[in-house]
Amino acid sequence: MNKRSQQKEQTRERILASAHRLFAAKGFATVNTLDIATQAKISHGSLFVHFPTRNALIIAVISRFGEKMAARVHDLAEAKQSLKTVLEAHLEILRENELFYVQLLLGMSIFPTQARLQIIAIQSAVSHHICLTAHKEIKKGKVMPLADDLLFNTWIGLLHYYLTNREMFVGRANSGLQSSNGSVIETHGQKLLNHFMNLITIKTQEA
Amino acid sequence: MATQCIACGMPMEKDEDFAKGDKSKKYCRFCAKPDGSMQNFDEKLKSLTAFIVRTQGLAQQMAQDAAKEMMSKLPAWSGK
Repeated sequence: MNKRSQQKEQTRERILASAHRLFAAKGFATVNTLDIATQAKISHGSLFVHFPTRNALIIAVISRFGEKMAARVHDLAEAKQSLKTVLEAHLEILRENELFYVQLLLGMSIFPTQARLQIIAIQSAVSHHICLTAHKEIKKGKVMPLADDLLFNTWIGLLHYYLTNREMFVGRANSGLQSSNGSVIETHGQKLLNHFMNLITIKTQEA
Repeated sequence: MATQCIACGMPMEKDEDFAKGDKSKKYCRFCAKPDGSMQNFDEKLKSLTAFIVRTQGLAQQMAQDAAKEMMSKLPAWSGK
């Protein structure tokens, strides 16, 4: 890669990182391209050299996030043996990206189709590992033989309800989500995990 | 560093991740047919769509659109 295309690539990455930070902090509906250009320290016009429309930028930001999340899910989940530890790994990844992920859920209805499809792709990486591990435990008689979609959607539905209503569950934290008491996952993750495992685990009869 | 399956994007590290356990293959065990050859575009689209329907419960058309979007980024299907 020559110096010019290297610089172009660096600027593109700076725009994407700035957009990611702003979307995470303020939401997809309110952040405009001028805010992002200012944050990335480039002119408003330069931003459009890299991303012809705001939607193209949104799609690229979500795609970049999806690739990172899929790789992280794979890295963490591969080493885990039980369904509970895979779900713990999922919680850990959500905790690391909680602000952005919440905005992704809240922005779903305003996203262009391509961005919505990318969110399905992100969930595919997660559902792949969860279902693969669940199958092993169903085979061993540890977990109820639930349909894959119901197992996955029960888990994700529970998490998403808490995440999209985070003010109801952790309050309006002025300090932001970085503090432990502002994070839904840190505050409620373990409880939700225990509850979910309790729902799907086959209880052995005590003698 | 893990190799990425050219047909579905899954990172491949262990021998069993690769088609037929063969590390020289560029695609994973999920993208291989029983004889070890790689699924073609239509077969992969069908299996990926079925996977999304099975694990996320989505409507067929939505799942197929998502599968196409996922495949469009992968080297095996560029230009399709």
